[in-house]
Amino acid sequence: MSTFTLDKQAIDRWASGGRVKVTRVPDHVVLKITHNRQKQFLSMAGLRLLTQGIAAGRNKQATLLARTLGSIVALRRLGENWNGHDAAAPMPTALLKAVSWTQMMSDEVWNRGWVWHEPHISASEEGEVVLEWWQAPKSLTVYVSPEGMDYIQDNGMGGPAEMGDGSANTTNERLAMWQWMFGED
Amino acid sequence: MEKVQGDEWLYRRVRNLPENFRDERDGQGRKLPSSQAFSDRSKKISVDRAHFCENNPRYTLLDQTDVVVELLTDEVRAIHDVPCHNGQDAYRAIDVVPDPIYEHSTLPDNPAHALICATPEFAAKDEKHFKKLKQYLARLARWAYFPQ
Repeated sequence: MSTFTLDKQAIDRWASGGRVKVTRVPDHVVLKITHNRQKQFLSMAGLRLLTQGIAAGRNKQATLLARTLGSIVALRRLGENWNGHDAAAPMPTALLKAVSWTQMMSDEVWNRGWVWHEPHISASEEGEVVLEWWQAPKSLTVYVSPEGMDYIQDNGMGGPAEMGDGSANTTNERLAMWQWMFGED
Repeated sequence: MEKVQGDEWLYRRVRNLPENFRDERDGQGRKLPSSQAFSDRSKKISVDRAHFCENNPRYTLLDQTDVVVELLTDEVRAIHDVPCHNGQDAYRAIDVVPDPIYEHSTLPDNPAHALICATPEFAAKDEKHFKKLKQYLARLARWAYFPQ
């Protein structure tokens, strides 16, 4: 038996046909391959394809992330009263925080083998950076200010009192928020 | 001042910027408003009463590229569950009140102007409750005018 420890999402994608036994442990998966039965799937060519798959996944994440970061940086063009209703210009510190927070969050999501979803980028009337995700009927809105990150969870059904809220300053808080929105496990 | 009637439509002018609209589109190909389309620094949301605009949303435009979404007064007043910061069971009343503009230093005269406001008003520490109100209004909003 050969044992390889590889990226969970890439393995899941590759082994989606169920031909390979995948054992899940907390931070990764162990791919167990019996030579007699599975060697056709573990040819060097197969392994190379798997590696390329991982690289492609990383590239896709990098592309999505670059687009998001570009949208955050583009908020610099907005001045005072940018929305015609007296909104403050986005705060430079909030922009910097939003860039680092988004990079951190996408890494945390990716490292668990989850899928990163591109947020809509905006700014609030107070100059916070706003990241919004929608997945009908739910939506998740994160407000990034110099003081920290807060979120609003909307299940799309009740009124304002039914909406959840909290802070997204730690990995655990961010992952719990992400799980609520996208149902990852 | 004439009270805003429950069946009056309210126009909200929204700058046609990507920050104000989601990427998803409705059945007619128009982008859906984000919660940030209801951002107002005063925490009182500026609208125009359609009744005073001859039911023409273009009245509300300041720039020809602006977009207009509309809300129904009764639906806004029906929001009964925006919490007060200091009471678990205490909620704000959301109302629409006339606020005509005359002889303003920067704005043109606007007898149609009104405000969506809360009682008690939103204070700095109530930020998250105002954000939830914006979120909810984005759900209620319908399209009134989209530039060609």
